[in-house]
Amino acid sequence: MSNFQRYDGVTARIAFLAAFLTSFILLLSQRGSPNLRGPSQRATEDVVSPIAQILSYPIRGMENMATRFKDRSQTYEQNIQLRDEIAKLRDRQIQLNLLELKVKRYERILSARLDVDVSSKKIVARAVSETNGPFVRSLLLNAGQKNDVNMGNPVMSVDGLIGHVISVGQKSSRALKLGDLNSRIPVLNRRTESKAILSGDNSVRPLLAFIQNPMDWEPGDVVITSGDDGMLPMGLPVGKVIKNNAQELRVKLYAEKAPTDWVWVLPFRPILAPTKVITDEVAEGVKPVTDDAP
Amino acid sequence: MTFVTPHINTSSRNFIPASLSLFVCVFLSVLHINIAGESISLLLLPLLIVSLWPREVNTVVTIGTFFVIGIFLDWGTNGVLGQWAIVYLTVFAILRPNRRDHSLSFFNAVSLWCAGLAIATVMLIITGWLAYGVLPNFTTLFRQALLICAFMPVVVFTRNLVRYALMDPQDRDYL
Repeated sequence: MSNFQRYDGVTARIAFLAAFLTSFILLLSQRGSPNLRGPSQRATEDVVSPIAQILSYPIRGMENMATRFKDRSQTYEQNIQLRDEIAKLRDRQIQLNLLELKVKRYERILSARLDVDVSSKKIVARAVSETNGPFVRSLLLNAGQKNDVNMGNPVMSVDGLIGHVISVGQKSSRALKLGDLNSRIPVLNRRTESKAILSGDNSVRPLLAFIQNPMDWEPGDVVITSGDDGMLPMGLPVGKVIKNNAQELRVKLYAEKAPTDWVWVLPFRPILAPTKVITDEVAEGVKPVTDDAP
Repeated sequence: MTFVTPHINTSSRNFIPASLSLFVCVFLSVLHINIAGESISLLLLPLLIVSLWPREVNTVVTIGTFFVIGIFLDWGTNGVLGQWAIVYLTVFAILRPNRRDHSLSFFNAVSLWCAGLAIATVMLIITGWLAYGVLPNFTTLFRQALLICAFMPVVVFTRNLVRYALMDPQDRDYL
Protein backbone atom coordinates (compact mmCIF):
# COMPACT_ATOMS: atom_id res chain seq x y z
CA MET A 1 0.00 0.00 0.00
CA SER A 2 1.54 3.30 -1.02
CA ASN A 3 1.93 6.21 1.31
CA PHE A 4 -0.79 8.33 -0.21
CA GLN A 5 -3.35 5.53 -0.11
CA ARG A 6 -2.68 4.84 3.55
CA TYR A 7 -3.24 8.48 4.49
CA ASP A 8 -6.29 8.81 2.24
CA GLY A 9 -8.56 7.06 4.72
CA VAL A 10 -9.75 8.18 8.13
CA THR A 11 -6.84 10.56 8.80
CA ALA A 12 -7.49 12.47 5.59
CA ARG A 13 -11.18 12.76 6.38
CA ILE A 14 -10.46 14.05 9.87
CA ALA A 15 -7.89 16.51 8.48
CA PHE A 16 -10.37 17.70 5.85
CA LEU A 17 -13.17 18.16 8.37
CA ALA A 18 -10.87 20.00 10.79
CA ALA A 19 -9.57 22.36 8.08
CA PHE A 20 -13.03 22.94 6.61
CA LEU A 21 -14.69 23.56 9.99
CA THR A 22 -11.90 25.91 11.11
CA SER A 23 -12.26 27.90 7.88
CA PHE A 24 -16.03 27.95 8.27
CA ILE A 25 -15.83 29.18 11.89
CA LEU A 26 -13.32 31.87 10.88
CA LEU A 27 -15.64 32.94 8.07
CA LEU A 28 -18.73 33.13 10.28
CA SER A 29 -16.90 34.87 13.11
CA GLN A 30 -16.12 37.80 10.83
CA ARG A 31 -19.60 38.11 9.40
CA GLY A 32 -20.43 41.81 9.09
CA SER A 33 -17.30 42.96 10.93
CA PRO A 34 -13.99 41.70 9.62
CA ASN A 35 -12.08 42.29 12.86
CA LEU A 36 -9.94 39.19 13.10
CA ARG A 37 -7.27 40.95 11.08
CA GLY A 38 -5.15 42.35 13.79
CA PRO A 39 -1.39 42.02 14.11
CA SER A 40 -1.26 38.77 12.10
CA GLN A 41 -2.69 40.38 8.99
CA ARG A 42 -0.45 43.41 9.31
CA ALA A 43 2.54 41.08 9.71
CA THR A 44 1.45 39.13 6.61
CA GLU A 45 1.10 42.35 4.64
CA ASP A 46 4.57 43.45 5.75
CA VAL A 47 5.86 40.14 4.33
CA VAL A 48 3.75 40.23 1.15
CA SER A 49 4.55 43.86 0.33
CA PRO A 50 8.33 43.56 -0.39
CA ILE A 51 7.93 40.20 -2.18
CA ALA A 52 5.11 41.57 -4.32
CA GLN A 53 7.28 44.58 -5.09
CA ILE A 54 10.14 42.36 -6.28
CA LEU A 55 7.78 40.18 -8.33
CA SER A 56 6.21 43.25 -9.88
CA TYR A 57 9.53 44.63 -11.24
CA PRO A 58 9.50 42.61 -14.50
CA ILE A 59 5.77 43.27 -14.93
CA ARG A 60 6.24 47.01 -14.39
CA GLY A 61 9.23 46.92 -16.77
CA MET A 62 7.09 45.47 -19.55
CA GLU A 63 4.28 47.93 -18.83
CA ASN A 64 6.70 50.87 -18.89
CA MET A 65 8.17 49.68 -22.18
CA ALA A 66 4.72 49.60 -23.77
CA THR A 67 3.82 52.99 -22.27
CA ARG A 68 7.07 54.60 -23.44
CA PHE A 69 6.55 53.32 -26.96
CA LYS A 70 2.99 54.68 -26.99
CA ASP A 71 4.13 58.00 -25.47
CA ARG A 72 6.88 58.49 -28.04
CA SER A 73 4.46 58.01 -30.91
CA GLN A 74 2.25 60.75 -29.45
CA THR A 75 4.98 63.18 -28.38
CA TYR A 76 4.35 65.79 -31.06
CA GLU A 77 0.58 66.01 -30.47
CA GLN A 78 1.07 66.01 -26.70
CA ASN A 79 3.62 68.81 -26.95
CA ILE A 80 1.14 71.05 -28.80
CA GLN A 81 -1.61 70.22 -26.28
CA LEU A 82 0.66 70.92 -23.32
CA ARG A 83 1.74 74.31 -24.72
CA ASP A 84 -1.95 75.29 -25.05
CA GLU A 85 -2.62 74.10 -21.51
CA ILE A 86 0.32 76.06 -20.09
CA ALA A 87 -0.95 79.23 -21.76
CA LYS A 88 -4.42 78.71 -20.26
CA LEU A 89 -3.02 77.80 -16.84
CA ARG A 90 -0.89 80.99 -16.74
CA ASP A 91 -4.08 83.05 -17.07
CA ARG A 92 -5.75 80.98 -14.36
CA GLN A 93 -2.74 81.36 -12.09
CA ILE A 94 -3.05 85.14 -12.29
CA GLN A 95 -6.77 84.88 -11.48
CA LEU A 96 -6.01 82.52 -8.58
CA ASN A 97 -3.43 84.90 -7.12
CA LEU A 98 -5.99 87.72 -7.21
CA LEU A 99 -8.62 85.50 -5.61
CA GLU A 100 -6.19 84.49 -2.90
CA LEU A 101 -5.61 88.13 -2.06
CA LYS A 102 -9.37 88.77 -1.98
CA VAL A 103 -10.04 85.80 0.30
CA LYS A 104 -7.28 86.85 2.70
CA ARG A 105 -8.78 90.35 2.85
CA TYR A 106 -12.27 88.94 3.56
CA GLU A 107 -10.82 86.67 6.24
CA ARG A 108 -9.25 89.70 7.93
CA ILE A 109 -12.53 91.68 7.74
CA LEU A 110 -14.63 88.78 9.09
CA SER A 111 -11.95 87.55 11.50
CA ALA A 112 -12.64 84.11 10.10
CA ARG A 113 -10.18 81.32 9.46
CA LEU A 114 -11.04 79.58 6.22
CA ASP A 115 -8.03 77.32 5.80
CA VAL A 116 -8.39 74.44 3.43
CA ASP A 117 -7.67 71.31 5.45
CA VAL A 118 -6.00 69.45 2.59
CA SER A 119 -2.42 68.85 3.64
CA SER A 120 0.35 70.14 1.39
CA LYS A 121 2.57 67.26 2.53
CA LYS A 122 2.19 64.09 0.51
CA ILE A 123 3.57 60.63 1.21
CA VAL A 124 4.46 58.89 -2.02
CA ALA A 125 3.78 55.16 -2.03
CA ARG A 126 3.58 52.39 -4.58
CA ALA A 127 0.52 50.17 -4.87
CA VAL A 128 2.37 46.84 -4.92
CA SER A 129 -0.81 44.83 -4.97
CA GLU A 130 -4.29 45.68 -6.12
CA THR A 131 -7.20 43.38 -5.38
CA ASN A 132 -10.21 43.74 -7.63
CA GLY A 133 -11.81 40.46 -6.68
CA PRO A 134 -15.45 39.37 -6.75
CA PHE A 135 -15.91 40.75 -3.20
CA VAL A 136 -12.95 42.92 -2.23
CA ARG A 137 -11.38 46.03 -3.78
CA SER A 138 -8.27 47.16 -1.99
CA LEU A 139 -4.66 48.23 -2.43
CA LEU A 140 -1.53 47.18 -0.60
CA LEU A 141 0.88 50.10 -0.30
CA ASN A 142 4.61 49.89 0.41
CA ALA A 143 4.49 52.68 3.00
CA GLY A 144 3.50 52.28 6.62
CA GLN A 145 3.96 53.70 10.10
CA LYS A 146 7.63 54.38 9.39
CA ASN A 147 6.56 56.74 6.61
CA ASP A 148 3.95 58.50 8.82
CA VAL A 149 0.96 56.77 7.23
CA ASN A 150 -1.98 56.62 9.65
CA MET A 151 -5.38 54.97 9.78
CA GLY A 152 -8.03 56.79 7.77
CA ASN A 153 -5.56 58.78 5.63
CA PRO A 154 -6.90 59.48 2.13
CA VAL A 155 -5.13 57.77 -0.77
CA MET A 156 -4.98 59.75 -4.01
CA SER A 157 -3.74 59.32 -7.55
CA VAL A 158 -2.88 62.23 -9.82
CA ASP A 159 -6.49 62.13 -11.01
CA GLY A 160 -8.42 61.94 -7.74
CA LEU A 161 -9.35 60.05 -4.60
CA ILE A 162 -8.83 56.27 -4.68
CA GLY A 163 -9.77 55.32 -1.12
CA HIS A 164 -8.56 55.50 2.46
CA VAL A 165 -6.14 53.60 4.67
CA ILE A 166 -7.78 50.90 6.81
CA SER A 167 -4.79 49.15 8.34
CA VAL A 168 -1.20 50.18 8.89
CA GLY A 169 1.83 47.98 9.41
CA GLN A 170 5.44 48.98 9.96
CA LYS A 171 6.37 49.11 6.28
CA SER A 172 3.06 48.59 4.52
CA SER A 173 -0.54 49.68 4.68
CA ARG A 174 -3.85 48.57 3.24
CA ALA A 175 -6.20 51.01 1.52
CA LEU A 176 -9.87 50.34 0.90
CA LYS A 177 -10.93 51.47 -2.57
CA LEU A 178 -14.05 53.58 -3.05
CA GLY A 179 -15.78 50.72 -4.88
CA ASP A 180 -15.38 48.21 -2.02
CA LEU A 181 -18.50 46.93 -0.27
CA ASN A 182 -17.40 48.43 3.06
CA SER A 183 -16.49 51.88 1.71
CA ARG A 184 -18.73 54.83 2.74
CA ILE A 185 -17.51 58.38 2.07
CA PRO A 186 -19.48 61.61 2.66
CA VAL A 187 -19.43 63.65 -0.54
CA LEU A 188 -20.58 67.01 -1.82
CA ASN A 189 -21.91 68.19 -5.16
CA ARG A 190 -19.67 71.14 -6.07
CA ARG A 191 -22.41 72.81 -8.14
CA THR A 192 -25.31 72.64 -5.67
CA GLU A 193 -23.43 71.88 -2.42
CA SER A 194 -25.88 69.05 -1.85
CA LYS A 195 -24.58 66.19 0.27
CA ALA A 196 -24.68 62.41 -0.10
CA ILE A 197 -22.85 59.26 0.88
CA LEU A 198 -20.69 57.56 -1.73
CA SER A 199 -21.40 53.92 -1.10
CA GLY A 200 -19.23 51.17 -2.58
CA ASP A 201 -21.11 48.17 -3.93
CA ASN A 202 -18.23 46.17 -5.37
CA SER A 203 -18.49 47.85 -8.75
CA VAL A 204 -16.15 50.25 -10.54
CA ARG A 205 -18.64 53.09 -10.18
CA PRO A 206 -19.92 53.49 -6.61
CA LEU A 207 -23.49 54.48 -5.79
CA LEU A 208 -24.68 57.81 -4.40
CA ALA A 209 -26.83 56.99 -1.35
CA PHE A 210 -28.69 59.08 1.24
CA ILE A 211 -29.08 61.94 -1.21
CA GLN A 212 -30.57 65.07 0.38
CA ASN A 213 -32.42 66.25 -2.69
CA PRO A 214 -32.30 64.13 -5.87
CA MET A 215 -33.11 67.22 -7.98
CA ASP A 216 -29.74 68.68 -7.00
CA TRP A 217 -27.83 65.90 -8.69
CA GLU A 218 -27.41 65.78 -12.44
CA PRO A 219 -25.10 63.77 -14.68
CA GLY A 220 -21.85 65.62 -15.15
CA ASP A 221 -21.84 67.27 -11.71
CA VAL A 222 -18.45 67.27 -10.02
CA VAL A 223 -18.27 65.30 -6.77
CA ILE A 224 -15.77 66.16 -4.01
CA THR A 225 -15.34 64.96 -0.42
CA SER A 226 -17.44 66.90 2.08
CA GLY A 227 -15.28 66.15 5.10
CA ASP A 228 -18.43 65.70 7.21
CA ASP A 229 -17.19 62.55 8.92
CA GLY A 230 -14.06 64.32 10.12
CA MET A 231 -12.00 61.45 8.79
CA LEU A 232 -11.25 62.87 5.33
CA PRO A 233 -10.45 66.47 4.43
CA MET A 234 -12.94 68.53 2.45
CA GLY A 235 -12.45 69.17 -1.24
CA LEU A 236 -10.68 66.08 -2.53
CA PRO A 237 -11.75 65.42 -6.14
CA VAL A 238 -13.74 62.18 -6.43
CA GLY A 239 -15.44 62.04 -9.84
CA LYS A 240 -18.44 62.99 -11.94
CA VAL A 241 -22.08 61.99 -11.53
CA ILE A 242 -23.53 59.57 -14.06
CA LYS A 243 -26.90 57.87 -14.35
CA ASN A 244 -26.95 54.20 -15.25
CA ASN A 245 -29.65 52.22 -17.08
CA ALA A 246 -31.51 51.61 -13.80
CA GLN A 247 -31.65 55.41 -13.31
CA GLU A 248 -29.36 55.13 -10.28
CA LEU A 249 -27.00 57.99 -9.56
CA ARG A 250 -23.43 56.74 -9.57
CA VAL A 251 -20.01 58.34 -9.69
CA LYS A 252 -17.50 57.84 -12.46
CA LEU A 253 -14.31 58.07 -10.46
CA TYR A 254 -11.49 60.27 -11.73
CA ALA A 255 -9.06 57.63 -10.44
CA GLU A 256 -10.52 54.97 -12.75
CA LYS A 257 -8.97 56.72 -15.78
CA ALA A 258 -5.57 55.14 -15.28
CA PRO A 259 -4.35 51.93 -13.62
CA THR A 260 -3.16 52.47 -10.07
CA ASP A 261 0.58 52.38 -9.54
CA TRP A 262 2.10 55.34 -7.69
CA VAL A 263 -0.20 56.97 -5.17
CA TRP A 264 -0.12 59.75 -2.59
CA VAL A 265 -1.19 59.33 0.98
CA LEU A 266 -2.30 62.62 2.54
CA PRO A 267 -1.33 62.75 6.21
CA PHE A 268 -4.64 64.17 7.43
CA ARG A 269 -5.29 64.30 11.17
CA PRO A 270 -8.92 63.32 11.78
CA ILE A 271 -11.07 65.67 13.85
CA LEU A 272 -11.54 64.03 17.24
CA ALA A 273 -14.90 63.75 18.96
CA PRO A 274 -15.32 66.36 21.80
CA THR A 275 -15.24 63.74 24.56
CA LYS A 276 -11.95 62.45 23.28
CA VAL A 277 -10.43 65.96 23.20
CA ILE A 278 -11.53 66.67 26.79
CA THR A 279 -10.15 63.32 27.94
CA ASP A 280 -6.83 64.12 26.30
CA GLU A 281 -6.70 67.55 27.93
CA VAL A 282 -7.47 66.02 31.32
CA ALA A 283 -4.67 63.58 30.73
CA GLU A 284 -2.36 66.50 30.01
CA GLY A 285 -3.35 68.26 33.24
CA VAL A 286 -5.91 70.75 31.89
CA LYS A 287 -8.89 71.23 34.19
CA PRO A 288 -12.12 70.06 32.46
CA VAL A 289 -14.91 72.60 32.01
CA THR A 290 -17.99 71.58 34.01
CA ASP A 291 -21.51 73.05 34.23
CA ASP A 292 -21.19 74.01 37.93
CA ALA A 293 -17.95 75.90 37.37
CA PRO A 294 -18.14 79.64 38.26
CA MET B 1 14.30 -15.64 -4.90
CA THR B 2 13.15 -12.18 -3.94
CA PHE B 3 12.62 -9.32 -6.32
CA VAL B 4 13.37 -5.99 -4.75
CA THR B 5 11.96 -2.89 -6.40
CA PRO B 6 13.42 0.47 -5.41
CA HIS B 7 10.92 2.61 -3.51
CA ILE B 8 10.25 5.84 -5.32
CA ASN B 9 8.83 8.55 -3.15
CA THR B 10 6.44 9.98 -5.72
CA SER B 11 4.53 11.82 -3.00
CA SER B 12 7.25 14.34 -2.11
CA ARG B 13 8.58 14.42 -5.70
CA ASN B 14 5.19 15.63 -6.91
CA PHE B 15 4.32 17.69 -3.87
CA ILE B 16 7.33 20.01 -3.73
CA PRO B 17 7.03 21.53 -7.25
CA ALA B 18 3.23 21.67 -6.95
CA SER B 19 3.30 23.48 -3.61
CA LEU B 20 6.04 25.83 -4.82
CA SER B 21 4.05 26.72 -7.93
CA LEU B 22 0.95 27.23 -5.76
CA PHE B 23 2.92 29.57 -3.52
CA VAL B 24 4.25 31.58 -6.50
CA CYS B 25 0.75 31.73 -8.01
CA VAL B 26 -0.64 33.09 -4.74
CA PHE B 27 1.89 35.93 -4.90
CA LEU B 28 1.13 36.53 -8.57
CA SER B 29 -2.59 36.59 -7.78
CA VAL B 30 -2.21 39.52 -5.38
CA LEU B 31 -0.27 41.57 -7.95
CA HIS B 32 -1.99 43.74 -10.50
CA ILE B 33 -0.90 43.92 -14.09
CA ASN B 34 -1.72 46.77 -16.41
CA ILE B 35 -2.04 45.85 -20.05
CA ALA B 36 -3.12 48.49 -22.59
CA GLY B 37 -4.58 50.65 -19.84
CA GLU B 38 -6.58 47.77 -18.35
CA SER B 39 -5.80 46.49 -14.87
CA ILE B 40 -5.99 42.72 -14.75
CA SER B 41 -5.97 40.42 -11.76
CA LEU B 42 -4.88 36.78 -11.58
CA LEU B 43 -6.88 35.99 -8.45
CA LEU B 44 -8.06 32.65 -9.82
CA LEU B 45 -4.58 31.43 -10.77
CA PRO B 46 -4.09 29.38 -7.55
CA LEU B 47 -7.43 27.69 -8.25
CA LEU B 48 -5.99 26.39 -11.52
CA ILE B 49 -3.07 24.82 -9.62
CA VAL B 50 -5.51 23.29 -7.12
CA SER B 51 -7.62 21.83 -9.96
CA LEU B 52 -4.52 20.35 -11.62
CA TRP B 53 -2.97 19.07 -8.38
CA PRO B 54 -0.57 16.19 -9.12
CA ARG B 55 -1.27 12.52 -8.51
CA GLU B 56 -0.11 10.43 -5.57
CA VAL B 57 0.42 13.30 -3.19
CA ASN B 58 -0.22 12.80 0.50
CA THR B 59 -3.81 13.93 1.08
CA VAL B 60 -3.30 15.18 4.63
CA VAL B 61 -0.34 17.36 3.62
CA THR B 62 -2.33 18.66 0.64
CA ILE B 63 -5.27 19.60 2.85
CA GLY B 64 -2.93 21.41 5.24
CA THR B 65 -1.29 23.25 2.35
CA PHE B 66 -4.60 24.39 0.88
CA PHE B 67 -5.78 25.57 4.28
CA VAL B 68 -2.64 27.61 4.93
CA ILE B 69 -2.48 29.01 1.37
CA GLY B 70 -6.19 29.90 1.50
CA ILE B 71 -5.81 31.81 4.77
CA PHE B 72 -2.65 33.50 3.42
CA LEU B 73 -4.50 34.61 0.28
CA ASP B 74 -7.34 36.00 2.40
CA TRP B 75 -4.85 38.01 4.40
CA GLY B 76 -2.99 39.12 1.29
CA THR B 77 -6.16 40.31 -0.45
CA ASN B 78 -7.97 41.70 2.60
CA GLY B 79 -10.74 39.14 2.20
CA VAL B 80 -12.73 37.42 4.92
CA LEU B 81 -10.57 34.77 6.57
CA GLY B 82 -11.41 31.23 5.55
CA GLN B 83 -13.17 31.98 2.26
CA TRP B 84 -10.46 30.85 -0.13
CA ALA B 85 -9.52 27.93 2.14
CA ILE B 86 -13.12 26.66 1.94
CA VAL B 87 -13.13 27.10 -1.84
CA TYR B 88 -9.83 25.21 -2.34
CA LEU B 89 -10.75 22.43 0.08
CA THR B 90 -14.16 21.90 -1.55
CA VAL B 91 -12.69 21.86 -5.06
CA PHE B 92 -10.08 19.35 -3.91
CA ALA B 93 -12.63 17.17 -2.07
CA ILE B 94 -14.97 16.97 -5.07
CA LEU B 95 -12.46 16.70 -7.92
CA ARG B 96 -9.91 14.55 -6.06
CA PRO B 97 -7.20 15.44 -8.61
CA ASN B 98 -4.60 13.44 -6.63
CA ARG B 99 -6.56 10.21 -7.25
CA ARG B 100 -6.44 10.31 -11.05
CA ASP B 101 -5.40 7.09 -12.74
CA HIS B 102 -3.69 8.60 -15.76
CA SER B 103 -1.35 11.48 -16.38
CA LEU B 104 -2.93 14.77 -17.36
CA SER B 105 -3.67 15.49 -21.02
CA PHE B 106 -4.58 18.99 -22.15
CA PHE B 107 -8.22 17.99 -22.63
CA ASN B 108 -8.34 16.55 -19.08
CA ALA B 109 -6.76 19.71 -17.74
CA VAL B 110 -9.43 21.86 -19.42
CA SER B 111 -12.21 19.61 -18.03
CA LEU B 112 -10.73 19.74 -14.52
CA TRP B 113 -10.34 23.52 -14.71
CA CYS B 114 -13.94 24.01 -15.87
CA ALA B 115 -15.23 21.72 -13.12
CA GLY B 116 -13.02 23.45 -10.53
CA LEU B 117 -14.24 26.86 -11.67
CA ALA B 118 -17.90 25.78 -11.46
CA ILE B 119 -17.43 24.42 -7.92
CA ALA B 120 -15.47 27.52 -6.89
CA THR B 121 -18.19 29.82 -8.24
CA VAL B 122 -20.87 27.99 -6.23
CA MET B 123 -18.69 28.12 -3.11
CA LEU B 124 -17.91 31.82 -3.63
CA ILE B 125 -21.63 32.55 -3.91
CA ILE B 126 -22.38 30.63 -0.68
CA THR B 127 -19.44 31.94 1.35
CA GLY B 128 -19.85 35.47 -0.02
CA TRP B 129 -23.51 35.50 0.93
CA LEU B 130 -22.64 34.19 4.41
CA ALA B 131 -19.78 36.63 5.01
CA TYR B 132 -20.82 39.77 3.16
CA GLY B 133 -24.53 39.22 2.56
CA VAL B 134 -24.16 39.87 -1.17
CA LEU B 135 -23.51 37.93 -4.35
CA PRO B 136 -20.08 38.18 -5.98
CA ASN B 137 -19.45 40.59 -8.82
CA PHE B 138 -20.04 38.13 -11.67
CA THR B 139 -18.53 40.41 -14.32
CA THR B 140 -15.23 40.50 -12.42
CA LEU B 141 -15.39 36.76 -11.77
CA PHE B 142 -16.12 36.00 -15.43
CA ARG B 143 -13.31 38.27 -16.65
CA GLN B 144 -10.83 36.69 -14.28
CA ALA B 145 -11.91 33.17 -15.30
CA LEU B 146 -11.46 34.07 -18.98
CA LEU B 147 -8.04 35.47 -18.24
CA ILE B 148 -6.94 32.25 -16.54
CA CYS B 149 -8.26 30.30 -19.55
CA ALA B 150 -5.86 32.35 -21.67
CA PHE B 151 -3.01 31.49 -19.30
CA MET B 152 -3.94 27.82 -19.17
CA PRO B 153 -1.89 26.45 -22.10
CA VAL B 154 1.23 28.09 -20.62
CA VAL B 155 0.52 26.65 -17.17
CA VAL B 156 -0.18 23.14 -18.49
CA PHE B 157 2.91 23.22 -20.71
CA THR B 158 5.12 24.39 -17.83
CA ARG B 159 3.58 21.77 -15.56
CA ASN B 160 4.30 18.97 -18.03
CA LEU B 161 7.81 20.29 -18.60
CA VAL B 162 8.57 20.29 -14.86
CA ARG B 163 7.03 16.86 -14.51
CA TYR B 164 9.21 15.52 -17.34
CA ALA B 165 12.32 17.09 -15.85
CA LEU B 166 11.66 15.59 -12.43
CA MET B 167 10.69 12.18 -13.77
CA ASP B 168 12.96 9.18 -13.48
CA PRO B 169 14.81 8.73 -16.81
CA GLN B 170 13.59 5.09 -16.91
CA ASP B 171 9.95 6.16 -16.61
CA ARG B 172 10.27 8.57 -19.54
CA ASP B 173 10.38 5.61 -21.91
CA TYR B 174 6.82 4.68 -20.95
CA LEU B 175 5.43 8.08 -21.87
